[in-house]
Amino acid sequence: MDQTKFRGSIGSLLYLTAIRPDIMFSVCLCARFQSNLKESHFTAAKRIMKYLQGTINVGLWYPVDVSLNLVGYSDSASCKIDRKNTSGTCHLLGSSLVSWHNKKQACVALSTAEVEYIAAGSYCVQTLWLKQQLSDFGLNLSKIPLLFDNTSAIILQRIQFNIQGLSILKFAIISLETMSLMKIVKFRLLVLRINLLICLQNP
Amino acid sequence: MLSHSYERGKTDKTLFIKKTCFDIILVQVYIDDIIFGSINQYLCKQFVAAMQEEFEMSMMGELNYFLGLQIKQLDHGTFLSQTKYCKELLKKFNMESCKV
Repeated sequence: MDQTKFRGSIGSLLYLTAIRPDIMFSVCLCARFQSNLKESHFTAAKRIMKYLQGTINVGLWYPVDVSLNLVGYSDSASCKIDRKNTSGTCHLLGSSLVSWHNKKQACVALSTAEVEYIAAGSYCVQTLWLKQQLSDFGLNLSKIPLLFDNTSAIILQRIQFNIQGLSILKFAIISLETMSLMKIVKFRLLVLRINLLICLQNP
Repeated sequence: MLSHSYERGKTDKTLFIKKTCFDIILVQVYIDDIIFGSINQYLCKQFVAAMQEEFEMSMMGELNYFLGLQIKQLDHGTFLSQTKYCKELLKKFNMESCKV
């Protein structure tokens, strides 16, 4: 197998994710298998390129004359191989997609509520950065709504429980709690699943 | 930049902003490429004059290609795509004639 070629293709595809959230998950998944690659990994990378061939003109559309409300969505998906979940978040400013994030979580969570909670934690990190960036442009936002589809995670946020163990979960809880105290984010339950997030995780 | 009363962005250190009473000009620097934008034409002209005074640079006109991104500015919005980059990528890995 030609390792150099595979790494080259992953590098080129990673640059393409700059404005293509649809291939974000699949490219990042391929990028994890660089050191000991097999034929199947190369096939997967080729499959992504085939997809690109069909969707070559796809891009992002930023319409003029939209309201400047920042809304965030977060969700997560499970992985049965190593039990580590992947969190996905995105931010919409008005009706245009400005920021997205897709990352495998660093720890094994015990329940879906925890998983969603960790995803919401990484959402907070992204929100803080965006909030700073927007304040540079003279747009000061507070109470940025976060929408996610897990009731338990929202209840978890309300009762402010103390958890032993996982430091990442602790971090997520602390960041969420301080941010909601500072009124930076506001939590809402998302009843309808947002197609965009599903597409982020299962392209 | 700072001597021309531009402020540096708080998070993004390569972003420079100048605010006047009603208008704002944003200047983003990436190594040796600069993009800038403002609603006020006068601010743009002022910026170009200031830059050409200090450096030898060419004005490329309206933004339509930057770092592999194609930018189409239309009346009712802006469209970003990477079609050209994508084509080059497929050519590089001999995939341009693959089946969809």
